Amino acid sequence: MISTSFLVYLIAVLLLTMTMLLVSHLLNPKTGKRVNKLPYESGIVPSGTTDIRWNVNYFLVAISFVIFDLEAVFLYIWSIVVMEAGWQGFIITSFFIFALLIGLFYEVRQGAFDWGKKQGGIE
Amino acid sequence: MSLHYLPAIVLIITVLLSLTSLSLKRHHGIAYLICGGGLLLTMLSLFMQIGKTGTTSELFVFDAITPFLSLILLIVVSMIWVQLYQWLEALDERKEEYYLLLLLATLGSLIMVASNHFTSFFLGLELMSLSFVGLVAYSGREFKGQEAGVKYLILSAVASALMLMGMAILYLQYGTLSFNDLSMQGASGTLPSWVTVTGIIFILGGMFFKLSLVPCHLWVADLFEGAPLATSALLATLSKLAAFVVLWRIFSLGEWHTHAVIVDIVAAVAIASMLVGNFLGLLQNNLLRLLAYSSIAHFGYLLIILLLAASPTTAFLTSTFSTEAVVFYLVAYLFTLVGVFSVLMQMPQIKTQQDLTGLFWHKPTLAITLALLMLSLAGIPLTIGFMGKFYLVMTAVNHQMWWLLSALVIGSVIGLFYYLRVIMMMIKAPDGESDFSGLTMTTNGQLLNYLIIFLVIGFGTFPAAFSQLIETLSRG
Amino acid sequence: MISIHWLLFLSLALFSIGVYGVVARRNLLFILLSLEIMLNAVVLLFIAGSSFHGNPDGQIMYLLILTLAASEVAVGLGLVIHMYRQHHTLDVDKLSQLRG
Repeated sequence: MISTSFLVYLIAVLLLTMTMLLVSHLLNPKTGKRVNKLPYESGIVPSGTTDIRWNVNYFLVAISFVIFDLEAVFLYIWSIVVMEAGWQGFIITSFFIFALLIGLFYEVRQGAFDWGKKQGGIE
Repeated sequence: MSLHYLPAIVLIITVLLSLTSLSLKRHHGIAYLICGGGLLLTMLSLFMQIGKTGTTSELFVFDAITPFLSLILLIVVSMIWVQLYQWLEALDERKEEYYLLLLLATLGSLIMVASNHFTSFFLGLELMSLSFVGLVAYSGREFKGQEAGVKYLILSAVASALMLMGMAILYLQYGTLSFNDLSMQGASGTLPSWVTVTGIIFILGGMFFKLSLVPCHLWVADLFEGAPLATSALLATLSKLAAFVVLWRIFSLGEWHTHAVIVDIVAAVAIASMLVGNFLGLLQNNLLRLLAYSSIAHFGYLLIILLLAASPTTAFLTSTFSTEAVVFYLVAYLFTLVGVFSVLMQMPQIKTQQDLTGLFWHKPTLAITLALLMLSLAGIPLTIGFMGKFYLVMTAVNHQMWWLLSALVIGSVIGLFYYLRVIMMMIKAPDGESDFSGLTMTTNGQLLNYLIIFLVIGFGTFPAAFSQLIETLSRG
Repeated sequence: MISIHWLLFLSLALFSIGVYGVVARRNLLFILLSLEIMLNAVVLLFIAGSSFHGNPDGQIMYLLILTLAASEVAVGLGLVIHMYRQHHTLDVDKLSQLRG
């Protein structure tokens, strides 16, 4: 069952947070400056809007990142057992990386990473 | 590394080679030849394994039947490959990537056919399905192709999630992912037995999606119509054969027929697929949709095989007979279907049955080939389709499954009607509206048509040689 | 130590949330997100099974499913970009040309 100390702790937490919220609400100055509505960015004044259009190439790079990022997971597994796996493991892993390299080469030649060009990317 | 992994290695090297050649220089002819060479070498390396002693490893099983089924798969892919060059030339897209995705899908299905572990099954399945998404959405500029691509992506992802859930539940129950251990630990699970049944239902649900059986059949017609023609052909043959082989293997190794609920579900799905598939086909005018519904019905017939172990047998036949029946039926159906699709690929502008009016009087070879294939699909004697169905009925009678048999007979009778309607359309006198002047026959196409006629009639008239081959294989 | 049943129920509940999302949502991006939820439910169960039986197969499955999820999202986002470029919408209900 729920112990007594837990109940005391729960009530204490609730009381403390409510007091903190109430006190700060009562004490804060009620000036309606425009800046107060802006999101807090560690004291730096925000500039521009977040509602900008991304280049579609950004998504290509993002997708490639997700895929290549995940391949690192497999290398991590290999790195744990690198001694036990021996040369056979090394050769298989090298083949794996080699296949990835060919994939990367293909992507580069396709122009997936050509930033800023008017007609880069797929198509 | 034994000889058994050679086909897959050859395919992987072909994929890497064609990827490299693509990045260096784009050329349709080169991509076509690399793909063909790779397929040929793979077939050779598979051919060497037939009749050799098999091995079983942790992840894969290479018994007598596996290389044979893989070889059949490769033959089907090559029959589509033969026509691919011309068909792609007419397409207004980049052409070379099609071969790449085709090879990857083939590799995935090879892995699936030989899988002996949920991990290898899952990897092969995903390799195949993800390549198929690319193949389906290949002509992405067309609205229909894109729609089919999105539908296939979502549905195949849901299907694989369902299957994974089933695998996870079975893993939680038994603590193993190997197909072999599923049967050994049949009774002793960590959780009550209804959990096992739930897991099996999840896996079956995903499989029914892949095989487009009745409760999950709605996507297949849309897909056949929207996807590029060659992709539909591959979907109907490659993906379904691989999925069925795995389902068959898990079902018999895991002894799922011991659960009464599962047997009931499979029987209900089989009967519903036979009736609904044929009935929807009856109402259909679009040729590709007709093929889609007929494939639903055909896989409904095949589900009978899964239930064989559950019913009492009068045993005047050997136990390998059901293996023979499955393999014969699959081969018969695949060859027929790939024939139909290659005939359709030779006349791309024909979409509906009305378009076929009077084809016989213009292009007799094409019309005769198509007519024979339709007869084979309907299961008329002297065609390979009849022999397949004959085997199936024999096994079903032997195991006294009268309910399924009556559904099979009713379904076949309904089916006969619409297959014959296609033939009637072709023999009708031309009405002047249909225009076949754009049809040009190529040597490739002609040769393929003769080969198809030879296979369908040859094995239909003299099935003994073929069935003996399968019999020796399933014994060994 | 909580009973293994609760994990099964938690995973099934997550899975059902994912299925509901796939069925009910109309935006392609949200459908992809719901698919991820379904896969994560499966992953949870695999990890639970792995630690319950003390055998590493489930964790390997986890890595493989992670890879699958990434490649599925990659293919899916490719289709999303393609669809948005052509139709300027991600509403899957608009994809209704194929009717029998």
